[in-house]
Amino acid sequence: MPGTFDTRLQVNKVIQGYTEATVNLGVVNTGVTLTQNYGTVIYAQLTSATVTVFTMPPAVLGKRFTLILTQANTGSATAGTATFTNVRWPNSPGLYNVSTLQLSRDILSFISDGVNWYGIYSVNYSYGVADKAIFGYGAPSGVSNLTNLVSNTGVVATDVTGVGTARQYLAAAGYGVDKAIFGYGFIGGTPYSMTNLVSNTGVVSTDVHWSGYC
Amino acid sequence: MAGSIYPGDELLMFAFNAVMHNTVRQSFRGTAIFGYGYIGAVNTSLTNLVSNTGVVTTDVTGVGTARYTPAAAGYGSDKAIFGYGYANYYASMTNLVSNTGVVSTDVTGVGTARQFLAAAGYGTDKAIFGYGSPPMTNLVSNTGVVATDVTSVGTARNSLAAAGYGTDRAIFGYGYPAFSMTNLVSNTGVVATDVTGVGSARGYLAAAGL
Repeated sequence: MPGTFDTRLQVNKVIQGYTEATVNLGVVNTGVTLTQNYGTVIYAQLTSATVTVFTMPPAVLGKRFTLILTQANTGSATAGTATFTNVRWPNSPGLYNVSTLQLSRDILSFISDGVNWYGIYSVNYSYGVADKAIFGYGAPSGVSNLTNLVSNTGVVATDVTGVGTARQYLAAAGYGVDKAIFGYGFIGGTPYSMTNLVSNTGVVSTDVHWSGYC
Repeated sequence: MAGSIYPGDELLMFAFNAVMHNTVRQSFRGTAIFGYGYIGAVNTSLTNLVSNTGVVTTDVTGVGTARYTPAAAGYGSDKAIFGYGYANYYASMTNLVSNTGVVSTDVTGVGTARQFLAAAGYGTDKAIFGYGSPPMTNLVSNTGVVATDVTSVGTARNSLAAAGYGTDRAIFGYGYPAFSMTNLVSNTGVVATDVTGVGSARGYLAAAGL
């Protein structure tokens, strides 16, 4: 009940298998105010070539939270950077320098003594890089739904038996962090407005039909 | 189409596009865009955004010269470009796309007007248009400026596809009428000679980074 102190949490209690509430701030730009109101595990991704100022919540004794910070999906030359208000880092007056590798992740934990926030960090976790490609569909003789994956070194793999409606004159693009989509297309004289999503391992999913001509 | 969740999508016959390079799709905050094409017997410049979960949005009224068989790729850290195509004539104009998916008006074309080409991002912030009919390549700067023609390397072909791979390279592959070779693009935009094809030779396909 709001406003009522729960004596069950006073002392020497065991909490098992708990999960902290998470908040995903998505891609952040020049400034963002952190709050623990909606979760104590906060996700954010930097914007390329942008300094993001993270404004900390009010310092309250005993408060703590974790920030999982993902670098932009660009090369180091255009990496985003991060600064924090009212945070003391190890090896005072140490600083935290965000990892600059594409899509690298840093994990930052913060705890407050009521005056300051203290930051502890582990950096440069591998998170995920979109580094492959896929060719798909087309017309070898009639229409096809064959796909061919391309490795991160540019090597094309053999045909993969297709999924989805065979067609040609379609288009494709990447979306999300590491996925792709084939869309639209043409069979004989008929246009189609279906799409096929592609997983981050190159697996093409079945047709998603939008409207008409499907 | 009344009552349709996505009215008009079925009319987008030749939806060439592609924000293929991973840099761009991330800077688009995980989104992509389909654009231009062919509606019945009429060229179109309609676009459709794709959310970061792969959901296609409804048609957005087109900007720029309606045409089909253009190509598109990402450039800069968060933008894209549509270029070339067929607008009842071979076209060379380009249309820049903002990081919110807004397509700008025509930019006077540079390079040989052509269609059935392909495009992809390379480096960390540039793009390349390549091949097509007639075959040629054109580099795109990180501000969306298209450079003059560079003579094509490798087998001349059209109706091929291209995508980014690795962290900063691109690949052209396949093509009409029945080619399966590929051509790798370095992180400085240099197209390499043919690599013997793997997989079924074919044209009119599509490609994307993932």
